[in-house]
Amino acid sequence: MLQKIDSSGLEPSLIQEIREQGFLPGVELRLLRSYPTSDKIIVSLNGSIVLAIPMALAQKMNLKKIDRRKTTDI
Amino acid sequence: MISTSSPPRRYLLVGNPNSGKTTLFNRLTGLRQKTGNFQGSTVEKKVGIYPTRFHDRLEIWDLPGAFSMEGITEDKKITAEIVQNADESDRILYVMDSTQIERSFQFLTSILDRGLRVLVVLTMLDLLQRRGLDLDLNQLEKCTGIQFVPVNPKTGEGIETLIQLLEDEESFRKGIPIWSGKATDLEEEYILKSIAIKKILSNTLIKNTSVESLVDLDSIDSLLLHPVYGLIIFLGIMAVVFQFLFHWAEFPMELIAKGILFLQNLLRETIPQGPLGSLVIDGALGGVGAILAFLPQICLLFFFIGIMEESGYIARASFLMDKFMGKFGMNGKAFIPILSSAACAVPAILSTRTIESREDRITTILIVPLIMCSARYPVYILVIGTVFPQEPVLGYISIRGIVLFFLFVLGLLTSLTFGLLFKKLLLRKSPGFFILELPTYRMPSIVSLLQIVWVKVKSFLVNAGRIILTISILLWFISYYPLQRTETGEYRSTIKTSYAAAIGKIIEPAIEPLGFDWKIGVAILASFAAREVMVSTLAILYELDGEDEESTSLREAMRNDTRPDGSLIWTPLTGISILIFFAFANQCMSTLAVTKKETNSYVFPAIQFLYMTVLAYVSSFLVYQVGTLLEKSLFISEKVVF
Repeated sequence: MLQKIDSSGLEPSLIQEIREQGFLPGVELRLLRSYPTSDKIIVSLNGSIVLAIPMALAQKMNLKKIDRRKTTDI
Repeated sequence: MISTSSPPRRYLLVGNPNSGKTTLFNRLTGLRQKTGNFQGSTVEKKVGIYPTRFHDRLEIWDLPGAFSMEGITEDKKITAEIVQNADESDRILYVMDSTQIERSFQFLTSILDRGLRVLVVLTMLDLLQRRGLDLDLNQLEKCTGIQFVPVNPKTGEGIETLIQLLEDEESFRKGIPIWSGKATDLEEEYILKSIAIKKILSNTLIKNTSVESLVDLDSIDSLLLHPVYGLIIFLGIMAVVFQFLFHWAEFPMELIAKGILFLQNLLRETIPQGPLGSLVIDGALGGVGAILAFLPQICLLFFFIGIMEESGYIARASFLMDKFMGKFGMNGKAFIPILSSAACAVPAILSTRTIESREDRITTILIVPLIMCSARYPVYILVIGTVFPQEPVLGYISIRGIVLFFLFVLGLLTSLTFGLLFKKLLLRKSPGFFILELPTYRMPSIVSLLQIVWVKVKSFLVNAGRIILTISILLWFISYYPLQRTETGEYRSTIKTSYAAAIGKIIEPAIEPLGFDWKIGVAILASFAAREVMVSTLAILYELDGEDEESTSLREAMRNDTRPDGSLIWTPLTGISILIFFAFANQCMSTLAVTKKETNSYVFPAIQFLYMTVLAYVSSFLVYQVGTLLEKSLFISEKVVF
């Protein structure tokens, strides 16, 4: 479950995009796959939307600490 | 019921991106607007007329997909502005993807908050049902006060019910408040709405089976999204496409060319010799016919791009290219316009509206015309087919297909390199984070693919056809006149003393170092209006040049053409030099016009034209000069026999 988005350093348009795509506190997130070499993870939101996001952004969203070589959990 | 005396009423098709609005729009209006299985396939407002029994002018507006009233990109701003200015007389046809109902409800609540009249069209309900879920429509209506109608825009299922509802004033309702409370900022408002939406869905979403998650990644994605295998597969797909373009299209292409030749010979026997006959046969038919011969390749190209867009693969390709594009200062979002420009740069430039950052957007607009587009194909195929052998290598692989693939890669790499340059020199800003939705794969229907091909080919023929016909007639005039008096006292046309030859001779010193003669020079000059004109111009010039001889195909005429010293003009080296010139030169008025429109400035089209033209000239010059030096040092004979 997504707790809080650390919006410091993020552009307002990106914060809005994150919100619009459905990243809101309380949303159920599931890690579907991680691509450490591409610096990306693929998640499903509320079990209905599949999104690819950069790992750096995932960290901003407090999706736990993401190991750059191995991502096992959100 | 709607009164016949009332003014045209607007029905606004609104909804999240990729929810099926354009497919529904096409179904209702009978139009054939572009669809695709990715976010941002519609970036412009489209208006169509829907005929009803009660109202003779009912307008349906297809708006770009949006998530909220606050447009963050150019396409979403269009929707936000129209919905914000909508009034009592407007009707909102809200298209909601059933599989993403929770996210879709956010925008719907904002529309209901404004007191607008809404009817919800539920799409992809079949997909939701296949996942073991269903929606209680009566309960949904009870919770929201508005009506929900399931429609499958692809198959037309439910469309009759929707049409009946469209003509019934009572179907569009203002609804009841969905959420309550006071939000201090936008985020809080989102959260409050989200809680209310969850509550509604808990009463209306029926789980038929035990479902943990509605979606998962397809197993094929482990390959297609893999950083190494995925990239190899993507490049492999493109290489195979270009092989097919030559293998599959060669036969119908020759058939069309022979048909046009037959028609020209037939007309030569019926129309008396003279200016009128030459204008019709050599000018109009020769010029336009030369382009028609390349239609099979263009159809196949549009068909392959259609498969990528409709299936959902284009979003995967964009994901794959993100890291690679990051090395060039851009993110994967710019890759969709780049790949789309393999069909045409104009819609590709429009599709950059989905890019949030102005710097990234302008950079993409500036580099997109370097990607191989359908207008370059006739030129490439004519030149490659003239100077490279047809015999395959390793049994199946066509050298011509390899050259075509190389030109695609060259365009791609050059565009990215210039993207980096523009970002470093003019538009310094690091690329933003890249969030990308990976849509569920859909099997493209053959009917919709054929429709895509038909619409694009029609547009190609109509738009390019007008320019080609006009320039063909103008070119025929300057190539036919002035007439020369012969020894017998007759007046005859000779290409070598024509106005076209005179113009060609003037520019020849500038293009000779590139390996081009005056005919190629005139063709290049004419092709600055549109690239395809190169082919029709060469067709007219060679047709008039060989009027006394037996009619041959354009390729044969080009292969046999010689310079004053007797050496062949169309050697592989000249061919490569022309291909390089066309790969880089900005020869498209429409591209410059749309660049001006989208950047709202004359500076960027000027930069685009200048850098591309200089790059084309310099590269072509280097290729020809270095190639000539190598040829001389290696004693390679220029005579190539196929």
